[in-house]
Order: sequence, then C-alpha cells, then structure tokens
Amino acid sequence: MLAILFAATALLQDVHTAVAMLLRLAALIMLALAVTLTTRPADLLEFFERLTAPLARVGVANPERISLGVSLVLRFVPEVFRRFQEIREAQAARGLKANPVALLVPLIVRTLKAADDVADAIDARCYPPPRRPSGGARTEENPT
Amino acid sequence: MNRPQERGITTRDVVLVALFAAIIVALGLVPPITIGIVPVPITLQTLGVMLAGAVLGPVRGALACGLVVLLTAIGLPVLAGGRGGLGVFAGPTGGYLVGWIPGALVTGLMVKYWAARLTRGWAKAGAILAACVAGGIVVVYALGIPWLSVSSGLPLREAALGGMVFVPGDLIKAVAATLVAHGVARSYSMELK
Repeated sequence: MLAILFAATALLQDVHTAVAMLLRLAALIMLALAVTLTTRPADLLEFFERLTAPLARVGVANPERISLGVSLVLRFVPEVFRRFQEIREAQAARGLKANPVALLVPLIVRTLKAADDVADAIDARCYPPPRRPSGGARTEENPT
Repeated sequence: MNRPQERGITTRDVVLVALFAAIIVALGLVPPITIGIVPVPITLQTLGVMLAGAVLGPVRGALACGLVVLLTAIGLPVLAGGRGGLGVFAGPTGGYLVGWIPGALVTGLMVKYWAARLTRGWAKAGAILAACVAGGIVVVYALGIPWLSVSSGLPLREAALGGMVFVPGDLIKAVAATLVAHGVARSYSMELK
C-alpha cells in the first residue's frame, strides 16, 4: 500500500514530495505501532471504556454491553469461520464452485438464528447484572 | 419473566451486533477472491459492511462496524491480511475504516425507510443496490479520500483519482451484497433497527 502510494506520488508530483510523504507516514504509523505494541489490548479496552464513561452516565453507551460485545466477537470469529468452511465443503461436495453469494446467504441466516439462542442463554444467566441505584463499588465502601 | 428489558437495545441486539462484527472479521480471513474482469483481488470485508447495514438495519449495522473499528483500535488483527492496531488509523487507509460506521448507517437507513417499503421484487432489489452503493461506496469514500489526502499529503484531486481504482471492485461487492441481502430477507425476515 505504501509502495503504491510512493510510486503514485513520485509519478504525479516529484520524488522529493514522495520521500517526504513516505517518511511522514512511516513516522505516524511507527508511533501508533509503538502504542499498540507496548499496551495490552485489555488496557486499551479499559481506556476506551473510560472514554465512553461520560456517555454511559447519560445512558447512551453501556460499558458492560460494549465489553460483552467485544468478548462475543472474539468468541464467535472462529465459530463463524468454521461454519463458513462447513458450508463451503458441503457445496464443494455437490460440485458447486466458490460463489460468495451462495456462501454468504446460508452463513448469515445460520448466524442470525444462532443469535437468538445466544441471547436467550445470556438472558438466562442475567447478564449484564442489574445496575444498583448508586453503583456497586460505592455502597461497599461506606456501608451505612 | 424478569428480563432486563430496555426500550433501546436488547441483549439480542448486542448479540446480533457482535455476531455480525464476527462475520465481518471472518470475511477478512477468507482468501481474497479474484474475479476475471478486475485484476485487483477482492477482500470481502467491505461486503460485510454493506451487509451489516442492509441486514441488521442502520443502528445495529453501524454498531457492528463500530465494534470492528474498536477491535482494530485496541490492536487486534481483525482487518483483512491480519492488519490491526492504531497504525491503521494513522495510515493512508484509516478513513475508509472509520467510514464504515456512517456507511453502514446510511445503507441501513436507506434499506429501512425506502427499500423495505417497496413491494415489487425488482424495485426492492434496485433500492437495496442503491443503498449499498450510497452507503458502502459514496459515504466510505467521502471519508476515505480526504483522509488519504491529509495523511499522505497528496492533493485531493489525485487522491480521489487514486481511490477510483477500487470502484469497480466495490460495485461488484455492492451487487453481491444486494443479492445476499435479498436472499437473507427471503429466508429469515427480521425487523430492521
């Protein structure tokens, strides 16, 4: 991607601008990479949760929901991929070639149906726990 | 039954959003498909963005994309080719990624308030296609191209010209998204939200 961009700038403008652009982009990406490499995903997630805390107080975002969503995605990526391969194999066994439309329709329908079961399972376990009026931590700190 | 029922987003919505985000991530794992006419290999991830809007609806579609963007930001390799981390946002393609969120929102809005109300099959399919093009291409590019221009220092015009390389592939994806959304709607009807 960067190489293409470099070539395009060098052709459209001149090599000087292209080099300057490349170095600038490289510096930006390295800086961001440094943050990513030195910080654990859990810490970053916590940071984003803190960022959304003001929104949560208004009632727009819900940190519990966000973390539930994040963990569900991580749990279900391999599941979705396995399902994808299952459908692909079933179609290959019937002599069908890879066709994104024919693959995606059953994949999405199956996933949507699975969502109902997962939602019921989560509700049955009462997650997220009902919020206490004054927040859980505060009541434990000063029991009156 | 003592279900924590809230007016806005239910547990089922959270699960749907998360599962669809998982689909978008899984689409990045699929080996890129090369279609004869276009030499550029096509990753299916942007297809997932159009589908999120068209299948789930505006709010949930945008949330699903937002979840993928969040996972990218915390450094997980969720994008096609195992990319991820804050570097993606600083790089030239960051705008396309952030553009997914309003893109899915616009696709969802158009499908919900326009396409879903049409009764004739072909009119509906055409409306879904228009929604996918508007949300998945126009809105995404509207963020992606200025971002590319700012982050690389390319003049806006040249950045726009460069971005046009991906239009044919994205048009094919919009057609595919329409067919898939239509097929899904026929076998599993769901309220858009």
